[in-house]
Amino acid sequence: MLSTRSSRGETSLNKDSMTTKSIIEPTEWVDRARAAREAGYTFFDWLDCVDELPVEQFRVVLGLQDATAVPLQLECRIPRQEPVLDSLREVFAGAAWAERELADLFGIRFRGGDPRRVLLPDSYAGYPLRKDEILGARAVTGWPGAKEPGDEAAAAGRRRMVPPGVPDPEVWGDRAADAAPASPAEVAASAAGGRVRRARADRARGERARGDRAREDRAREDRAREDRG
Amino acid sequence: MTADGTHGKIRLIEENCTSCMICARECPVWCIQIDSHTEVDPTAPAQQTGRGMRPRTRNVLDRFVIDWSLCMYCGICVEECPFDALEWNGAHVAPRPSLDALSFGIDELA
Repeated sequence: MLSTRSSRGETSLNKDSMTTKSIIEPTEWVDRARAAREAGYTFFDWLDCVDELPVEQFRVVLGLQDATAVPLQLECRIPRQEPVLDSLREVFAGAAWAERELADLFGIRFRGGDPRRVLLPDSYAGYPLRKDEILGARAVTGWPGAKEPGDEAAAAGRRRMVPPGVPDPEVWGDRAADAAPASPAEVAASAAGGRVRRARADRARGERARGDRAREDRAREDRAREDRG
Repeated sequence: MTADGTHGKIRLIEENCTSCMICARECPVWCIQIDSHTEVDPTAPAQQTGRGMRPRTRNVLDRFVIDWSLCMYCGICVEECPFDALEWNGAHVAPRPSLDALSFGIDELA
């Protein structure tokens, strides 16, 4: 929402549309955060991250507020293959907890940060909020939503429906032995869910059926021609 | 019944359900299971013209089960149902001595 009308009929910009956002280089992350604090943005509001697949980067965003609750966002892009960033705990002590959370959920390593897990058990392997994270149990569990209304045998004309979080077995799970492992972007795209093209086997079956029907039609025409002739 | 929309037990209004499967697809924890079949609908107006058109069909709901051991009371099914067949209905489901007893069918969801 960009604006709200006051009772006198004027419009005013609400605070979100006035949020200043700055993109910072990783090497300047701590210095710029300290400068922001010294400029009056003394309240650490939040620290969060976005997985930008198919672009291979994480976007780490720091939300600050000044004494009148005017917001400021500092943003930093780090490479997904090597997600390392300096810790802000020396500038904002409260950032340590948020960094532990991002380390658990995205696998970002914060130099100088608190190395302890905060959410996940030590035995957990994987990073739940990454877009290529797979819910492995779902790949082998039947999805209740796979049925079509009226339960007709996969209504032939429609593309099949697949659940989010489960990639195509050809991409992950049952990949051809000689194929290179799928890239994170491929896995994430495959696990998006929705109506998708049928797998190659189904398509081939469909094409064979069409080929059979075409052959039958031609045979019928030939017979008809012979009968006439 | 809670008119204020507090997230608790979910009620199925069977006569509104068309077996469209949208709730089962949208549920993030896959806790809704639906079985249905199609029947010729003799009451459909087009059916009664007697002009030899193809039979009109409708979906008939056979089975609707919510597994409360999986449900997280998010309400996405209630929001997504196009026919208002799902609504909030009182306190959360009480604990049961076994997991099976936490799967509610059409009668228990009413």
